[in-house]
Amino acid sequence: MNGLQTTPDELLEAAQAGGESFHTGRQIITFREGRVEEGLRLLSEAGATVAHSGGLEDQDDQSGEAGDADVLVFDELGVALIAGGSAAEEVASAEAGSDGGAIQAIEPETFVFPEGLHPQSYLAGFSAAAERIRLDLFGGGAAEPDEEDAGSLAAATWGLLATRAVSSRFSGRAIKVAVLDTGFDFRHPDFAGRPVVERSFISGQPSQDGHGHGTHCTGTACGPRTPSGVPRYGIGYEALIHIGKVLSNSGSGTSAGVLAGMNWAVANRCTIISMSLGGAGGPYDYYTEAGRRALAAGCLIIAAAGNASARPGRIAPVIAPANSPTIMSVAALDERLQVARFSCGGKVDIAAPGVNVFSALPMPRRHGTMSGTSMATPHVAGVAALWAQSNPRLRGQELRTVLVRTARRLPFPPSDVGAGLVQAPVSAASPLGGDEEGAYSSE
Amino acid sequence: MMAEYIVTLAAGADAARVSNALARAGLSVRQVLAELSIVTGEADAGRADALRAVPGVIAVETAHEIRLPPPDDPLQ
Repeated sequence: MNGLQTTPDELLEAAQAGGESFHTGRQIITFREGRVEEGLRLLSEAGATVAHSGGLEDQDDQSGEAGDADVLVFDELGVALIAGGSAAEEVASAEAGSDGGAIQAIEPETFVFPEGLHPQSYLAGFSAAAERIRLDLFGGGAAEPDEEDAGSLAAATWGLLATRAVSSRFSGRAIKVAVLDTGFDFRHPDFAGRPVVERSFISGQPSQDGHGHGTHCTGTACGPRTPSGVPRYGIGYEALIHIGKVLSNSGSGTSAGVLAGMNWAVANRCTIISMSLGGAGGPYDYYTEAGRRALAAGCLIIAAAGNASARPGRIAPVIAPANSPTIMSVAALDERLQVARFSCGGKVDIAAPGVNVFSALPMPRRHGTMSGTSMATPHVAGVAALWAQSNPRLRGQELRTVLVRTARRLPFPPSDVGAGLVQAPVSAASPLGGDEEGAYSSE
Repeated sequence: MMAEYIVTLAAGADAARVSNALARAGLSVRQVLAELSIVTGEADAGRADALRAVPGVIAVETAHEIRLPPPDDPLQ
């Protein structure tokens, strides 16, 4: 349960079940300067299997002995994470207890909570790094980290790694992103000082999110670059947030209310309109025409494909409005870049991370993990904001086209993943290449 | 029986004028969404064909319920 392949959420669940809410059950070893190899030799001699954070990507088979590793080494940091209850833990404790040993300290890995309970940045980075290694070992989904600063890469959710949002030099600055949902927690500390334009289309309810869904989606699309105490989870950290509350605090609404929100977002010329919602049936002419008119106004509507499948047995059709041709439909992927078992199929345009997505939740919950095509959709919306910032010509249909053209191809039918995994524009090496290069890297 | 309708207008249609015509055809107009050229409102279910016959109208459809899972459901 406290092995290295366990997710932070699973660990937290186990810890809370055991009445212990701060410690993950794993240990962090700090090696003395320049003595990492020596320390690791000791652990190996004690029977520990050692894996390194660097170089794993080069291995073809990542599921073999690396998967059984009970020590993960972060060479750049001079620290390692070890599984609880392993032989290595005992040896490390003994070594740390001896004067002048190769191991300076062995300390319990700690969950990261907000507001100064713990030395946050260190542990947040560490926890996220461990999550990253887990992906490298077992999934391969978010691999290919390039040569960016390892710290900043590690301290991000798997979705931001897989979409390469953390590798992008774009922030969504000045791009209007509308999230039509259950509203937003305007008191959320991660968004303090961030201007938010809002409008409620639910009579009797202000835009303050009484559900959580809207805050989570907004967090993924537009969350901050460096949230305090947790990994980065937001993509367009300088995007102009527009909140249209079209679903009530109990999560219900009607297509008429959704259309009212879409109309408002188009009237505000929001470049991206993210809609993690829908219902069975369709495609409806009203959504199709609304999508067409939005595109003509330079606004791209991105919507969730739906969660009604039970793969592999049953693939449910894409819901409305995502099933309208003028609206971009988003399927969900898991950490291994497999199609999420619940993800609807059929009219799918693109895919994005939608399983175990960590993002903001209304206070006092603050953050949490959810799954669904609802979570995949704002990944595409956030990445679209980065593309839109990269070139003012990328609006409406052109924005949609670039998202499709630059998606990472996946070995699944287009009816399941569309063009593939959405990819953010990285800095110099634009995937568009050629003479468009200059235009796409203008800033 | 009253139903909530969504009326999609042809591209370039004068939304104000068509919504007036829809009102005369039995639609109790609730919203004129000019950016989208869509009009919403309530009408007796028997009036749908009359609404469709209004010049500038390309579709008349009933509104649909949308419902998210409860907040504590891990699948959203």
